[in-house]
Amino acid sequence: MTNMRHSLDTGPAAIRPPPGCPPIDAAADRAHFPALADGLRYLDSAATSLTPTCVIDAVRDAMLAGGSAHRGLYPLAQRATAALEGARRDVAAALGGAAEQIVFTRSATEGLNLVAEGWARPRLTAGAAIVITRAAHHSNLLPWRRICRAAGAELRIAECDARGVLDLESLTPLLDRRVVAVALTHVSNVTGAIAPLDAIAALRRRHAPQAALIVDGAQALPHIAVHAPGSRADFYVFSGHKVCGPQGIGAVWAPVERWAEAEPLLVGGGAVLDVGDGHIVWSEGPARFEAGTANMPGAVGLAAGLAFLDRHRDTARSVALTAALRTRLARVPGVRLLGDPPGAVGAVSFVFDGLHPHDVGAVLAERGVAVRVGHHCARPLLAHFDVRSAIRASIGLHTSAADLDALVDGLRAARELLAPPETGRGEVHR
Amino acid sequence: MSGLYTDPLLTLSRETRWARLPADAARATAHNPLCGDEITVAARVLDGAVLDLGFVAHACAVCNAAATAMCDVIAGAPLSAVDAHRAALSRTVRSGEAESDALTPFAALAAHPSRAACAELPWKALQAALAAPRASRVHQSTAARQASAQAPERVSERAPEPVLATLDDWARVQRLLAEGRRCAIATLTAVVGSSPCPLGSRMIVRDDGHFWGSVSGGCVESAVVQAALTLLDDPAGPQSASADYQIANSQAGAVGLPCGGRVTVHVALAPDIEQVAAIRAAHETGAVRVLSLTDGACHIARAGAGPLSEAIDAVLASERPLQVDEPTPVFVEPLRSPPRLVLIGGTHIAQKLCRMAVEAGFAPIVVEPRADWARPGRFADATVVRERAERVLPGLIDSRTAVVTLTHERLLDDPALKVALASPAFYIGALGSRRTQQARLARLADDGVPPAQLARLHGPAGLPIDGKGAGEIALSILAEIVATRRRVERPRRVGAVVLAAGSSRRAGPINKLLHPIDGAPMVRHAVRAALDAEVEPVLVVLGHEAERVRAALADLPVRFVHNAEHAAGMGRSIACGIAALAERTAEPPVDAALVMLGDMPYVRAEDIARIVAAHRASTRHLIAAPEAGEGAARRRGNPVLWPRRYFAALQRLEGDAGGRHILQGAPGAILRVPIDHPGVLRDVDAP
Repeated sequence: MTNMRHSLDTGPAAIRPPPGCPPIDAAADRAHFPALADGLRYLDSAATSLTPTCVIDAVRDAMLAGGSAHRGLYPLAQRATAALEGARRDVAAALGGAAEQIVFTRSATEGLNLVAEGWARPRLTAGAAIVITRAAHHSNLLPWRRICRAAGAELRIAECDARGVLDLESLTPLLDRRVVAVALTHVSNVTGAIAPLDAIAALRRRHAPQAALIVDGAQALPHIAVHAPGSRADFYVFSGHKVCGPQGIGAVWAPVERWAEAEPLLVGGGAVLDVGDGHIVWSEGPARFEAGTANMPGAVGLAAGLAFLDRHRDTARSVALTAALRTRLARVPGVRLLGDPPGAVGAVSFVFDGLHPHDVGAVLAERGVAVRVGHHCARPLLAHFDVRSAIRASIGLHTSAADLDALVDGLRAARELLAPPETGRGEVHR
Repeated sequence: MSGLYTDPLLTLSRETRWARLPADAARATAHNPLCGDEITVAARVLDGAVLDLGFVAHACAVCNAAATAMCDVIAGAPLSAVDAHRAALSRTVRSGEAESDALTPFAALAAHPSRAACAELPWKALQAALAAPRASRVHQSTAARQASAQAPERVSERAPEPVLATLDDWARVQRLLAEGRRCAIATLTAVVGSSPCPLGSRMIVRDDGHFWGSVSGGCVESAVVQAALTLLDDPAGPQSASADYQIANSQAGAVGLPCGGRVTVHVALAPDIEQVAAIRAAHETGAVRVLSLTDGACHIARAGAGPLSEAIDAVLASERPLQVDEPTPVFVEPLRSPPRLVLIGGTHIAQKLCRMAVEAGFAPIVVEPRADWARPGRFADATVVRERAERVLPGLIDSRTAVVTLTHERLLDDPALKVALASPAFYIGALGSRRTQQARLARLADDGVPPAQLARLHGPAGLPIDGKGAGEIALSILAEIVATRRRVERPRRVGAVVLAAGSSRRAGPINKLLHPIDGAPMVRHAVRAALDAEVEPVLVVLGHEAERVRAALADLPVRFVHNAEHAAGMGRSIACGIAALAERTAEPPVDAALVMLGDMPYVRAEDIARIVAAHRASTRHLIAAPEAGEGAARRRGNPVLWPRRYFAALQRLEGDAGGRHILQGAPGAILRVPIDHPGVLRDVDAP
């Protein structure tokens, strides 16, 4: 008698975290987030994380104190400077680095533009190449495309396999002496796939040792404690509002040698020590890249957010929850998951046979379940899975089994409401 | 939400009556990126009214419903009414009160203001289309022209082509070598997925970087030129190199190319001038060029004996190149003279058709007995025969010839057609209106041409594109000729070998193949799945308890073959089955075979169909294997589809190993087909 299993039942209905992992009791975590007070089932942390009370308080306190950093001698201004620089130290420490390695930006998008325009463009010649991946968010695609077009350089794209995992065999032939930079996505905002930074760094060492590794870590930090100096990245880019911080702030980590090779994206007040008719004396350190008045409350909020994450983040729990989310979704008839990367963390994207994501998202929204629909700023990756738009659910620190139940119930309700009467196997929606 | 998604709205959203884009219409696309809605609307305008319109949408139910409602009310309406109708929708959506019966489903949007943009999106696209400048209305390709005018990611030089006398690849190489230049030849030797250029496409790269030809839609050429220059710059070094390239989707999508595949391009220094001359000569007699992928050397071969004989036969028969991995990796290309296009009548259309035909790979021959029409210089690229057609046609026509009559003179056309319709030409066309055709068919029938031959006549010749002028008419005829030629090619035939010899020693004394599962013996499920997937022929390999297994399948349309050595292991059963499949000479040969295990009853017909479809969609040389399972347990399963060129290796299998070692040795040649069902995965035998 063969022991063939007949169904796709790969686990029990309840979420079971791996042994040694704390139970998923999200009640304590929920209390930190005022936005959840009215019972919202928030499954869109990949778009923006909810802000915990302690971060709101930190930002509020910073604004109550007031003052403009690096702009004055009087005590109010000095305190603002101390707050900004203290935040810089704390952010650096959260990534295992030093303060002068952190440059504040407005967002991860700005950070990637800064690295592309400020570091890569000056050293990009016709005949050189930049390597990106199919999993790139538009913010990690368009800056590179623009500078390649302007320089007459080549943009090479490493592919993903059917699971959504970066195909190292497709990456290897793209690496050669002409490559100036390799721009990667640490964790995909569509599939939650984690890029194998060690393996990629090894390939870089062997085939393209001159190339810089630029890592978009926006979706990684919420779930993984990243030690930037040990990550092999030359530039590590992230944003505040994904790590429980406020919107309007982000940062780029890089060794000082890299910053010394780069030019600023924005130039203006604060970036220079002296300007005359024929000369410019640039500021030293990160200030050179932070022209304009600093977003001090934002920086303080970013540091507070990272500190909050440090206390509550649990990678094993994130992986287990993401796997549970995948399993629950896969059991809903008509759901087709996009990709299936092992050890995925954060986001799970899917299409729902025959129903347009917008309609499904609207039904879920009315039931108090927040998910994202659309192309998720990742058209090339969606095209790889042969869809034009998809539904995405993503986990946060506050996600619980009840949230997943609400999502699955909502999907069933959407299908009942929207599916055509003669439902059999509808065509997969594109 | 049920207030918004009412039955009338949902029903309207599923209507398909306007879901197409009329030709010769102005079009525009509108996006709502917040929700992923995208809609393209096309509208034909005549005398101030919208004659016809339609849309293609990837959008939510509200947008689809609004688009259908819009087309319902705008079709046939004057342009001046468009704004008024749009305004009525806007007011309905904001106030919640329907201004007409047709707008009733949209009144509910007042309670969902974020969805108003979805209902307005089709109107936004329509008004953009109608506002487009006049020129683009006729040519409706502004977007495409803009896309192609964008600077390419990488700029490479392209030598200007001479206007007349297009050289084919080998003629060009010969000329370069004769001029004392050096060059390299790049050949597209493998394709996975889709690529705009077919297998065997070539580029010729001169030692200063000028190049001719293409191997992709433009995204790979510069890399190939670099590879060629590397070889040319080091004459003492390697003579050839092979590399894989990814066709870039992002660039390709912008100009509407169906790109996205992976290609292998082999670059080699050109052979010496004598060998090139020999290659050119070999085209006339029909031969192949065998290119070594290890060192770039090549030689000419004809049909005959030797390890490559099967490959050579396949290449000569199909006129398509083939990569062979054993004994050494080589690429076998057909060398044949181009197919002929015989034009009866040296008219203006013939002049246009000659030039276009050369670009499409044909050798044009103009048959024109009248002195004025056959004057020298009228046809730069064609052979001109000043004779009456019916005298010379028999000598000119073979199965790769297309014939078109263009004179409008029945005394010249009719005799030519009579000869052509009785010949093996693959396309016979005649110019002229429908009325002319009727009269022509009647005359030919009266003259004794049998109905079966008359049915082969394409008349009026040309695809129905409403072409105006000699150039457009010539284009439509050439297009019809190419379409006819491609349709004649045989689709790939896939058979199945079901292993039911039951020789696994691990299984124990009970013959598990006969064990009932869901009311039928286990082996029957696999056979039924193959039959239901319309795989044909299905060959069942018997061995252990052959009579009992045969009896269990007796009523099914399968063939049986007995493996006397079944106790030796699965390898011999596979060898036996493949040998039997390959040897059937009476019917069209099998291009590929699925090796199915009789003890895998949960493989479904749809899984098999998916594997076969993936094989048919890809280059014919890849093994197709299903892949299933979740996470770390994801792995390859069965059945595996083996293209014909692996039949020899499969027939040499021994013992119990199956094709596993061949698969391990050829990871780049395997097309993985994801199957979302564990039935394709093998479980451990258990007593």
